[in-house]
Amino acid sequence: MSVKPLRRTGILVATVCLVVTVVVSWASWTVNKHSNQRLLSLQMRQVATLIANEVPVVSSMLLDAAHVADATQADPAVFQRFVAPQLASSTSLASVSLWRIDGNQRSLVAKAGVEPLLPSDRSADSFFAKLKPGRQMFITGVLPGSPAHFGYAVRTGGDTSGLVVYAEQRLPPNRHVAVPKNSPFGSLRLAVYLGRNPTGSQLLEATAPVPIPGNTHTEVVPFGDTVLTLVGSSSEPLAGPLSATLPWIVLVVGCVVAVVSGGAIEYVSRRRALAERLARENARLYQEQRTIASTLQHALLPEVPQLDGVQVAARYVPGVAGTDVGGDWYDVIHTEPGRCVLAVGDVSGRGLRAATTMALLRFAIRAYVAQGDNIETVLAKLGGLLQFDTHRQFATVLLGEVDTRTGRITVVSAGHFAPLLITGDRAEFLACRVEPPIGVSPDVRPVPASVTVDGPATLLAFTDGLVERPSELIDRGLERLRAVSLKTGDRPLNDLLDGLTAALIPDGTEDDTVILGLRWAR
Amino acid sequence: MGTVAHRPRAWLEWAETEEGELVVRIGGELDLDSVPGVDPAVDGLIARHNGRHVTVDLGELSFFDSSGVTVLIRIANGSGSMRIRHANPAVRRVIEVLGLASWLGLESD
Repeated sequence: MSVKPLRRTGILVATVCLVVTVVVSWASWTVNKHSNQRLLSLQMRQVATLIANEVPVVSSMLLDAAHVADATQADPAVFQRFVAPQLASSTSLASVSLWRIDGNQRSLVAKAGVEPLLPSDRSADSFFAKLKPGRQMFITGVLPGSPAHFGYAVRTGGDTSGLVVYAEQRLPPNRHVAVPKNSPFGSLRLAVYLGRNPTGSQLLEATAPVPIPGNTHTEVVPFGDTVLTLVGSSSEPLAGPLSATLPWIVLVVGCVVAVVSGGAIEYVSRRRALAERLARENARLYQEQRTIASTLQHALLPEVPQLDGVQVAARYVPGVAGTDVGGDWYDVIHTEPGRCVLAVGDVSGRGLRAATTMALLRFAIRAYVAQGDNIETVLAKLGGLLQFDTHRQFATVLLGEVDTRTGRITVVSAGHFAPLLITGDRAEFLACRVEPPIGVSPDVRPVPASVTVDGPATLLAFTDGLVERPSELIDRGLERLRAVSLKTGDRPLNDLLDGLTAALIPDGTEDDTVILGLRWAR
Repeated sequence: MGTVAHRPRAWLEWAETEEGELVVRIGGELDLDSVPGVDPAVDGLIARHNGRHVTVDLGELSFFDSSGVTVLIRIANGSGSMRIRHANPAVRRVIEVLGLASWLGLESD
């Protein structure tokens, strides 16, 4: 059975579908990832720009305050008046203070806001030591406290003495800031660190727990003598929900298609395998039935006897249409030395019923001939064996009596074709009166017809399969037989019969066909 | 469409003329396969008109072989006497070759 390879086809189709699905799904996942990454970097750059724009605002406030202090010889009152509105307008600005630097000494001149965290920090000295005069802003780093601060400062004056404006900014509790969901960056998880290393201690603020999860993007913004490092990721697909779910949709749909198409192919394959098996089985049964039919028919037909001076040969060709046995037969009965009776007949219809009637008639003829009846009597007696109204069958029968020594041929016919006689350059159907077929009428009075052959001659008796063709006048078929026989009549008898079969029914015939030939050599 | 597809290949019908003559008309293609289709009509004919004289008109019979002859034999056996008219040459020859021309009352028209 060829089921196994067919199964492989189903699995192959399903596998190919799955591979295509995985590839397409992977491709759409990659595209989605790239667009998300690209959109994230765009958003992060926008955030970085916003923050970078804030830096000059902060530094110019300090510089302005420093200029005011310079211009007023560090008048504390003026300084405090100047920075008060800044403190008032900002929630995160914790303090602004003015310091005088003289060599390694520093002293607080004025202060606004809360107490700065810086002086209590040990790194304060080194921070002040690194301040240089100019527009450069210096950053302290995160100052621990509650809340924590970070400080930034500018210095004026010369290398050894001058003024420092120092501000501290509060960091939000737990460094967490909430961002409204509907803001342009609502979907962004963002953390801002002081310096280049995004470590927890230098975290200024974050919109989500740190470290920021997912695929992150990092931007660096200059901030005074250091930088701000922004780390961000997106909490939702930036390229849109469809783009994000597309790979999954492709995967699921692809898997379903793979399974369904694999299953469908498998189903169709199995149906085909079944159909092919049934067709083979049918063909085998048909052949077997045909073989049975043919075997049965051949079993019912006799071996022809060889007579003194007369050669006998016969052919039976089964019909191509059905698998039934037919009702055609022939017989040659050797009655006494130099005398024989030949019979050719055809029972109407097909199948076992026809074959049975055929056998009945054939053996009845043998019995009547054995009793010594002549052929007219035999034919008349056959009329009593078959009644059309009872059996729904009739039979055409040609009986012939041949005297092999004298060459005399006598024939009687009940509904059957007269035989063809080929002598030298002539081929003629014997002129013979045809009575109604056996079974039609119980009262058969056959009229015998005789001819005597002298020298080489061939007598051909046959059934209708040899000469009948649908939608053709029967005379055309008879004429075709006569013409071919005349042309090939001098061939050896077996060759002649084979040649006639090949020429007259080249593609076989619906009906079965019998040819019986008798040949006088001289 | 269905009725066309299943239209029988052969048909048989009968009628009586004003003069009281029973005329049976057979048409189509009558062979081994189509004979069973007209058998019921033959049964009906024989049941109603057994023993009468019948005229069989084969004018519309286009194809006919020795299996089709069984229909004519049944009608002949069921009727008192019978004649066949309007048979085309091919139909005529089938009847003649079987030696049934006079027995079936085949007219030489």
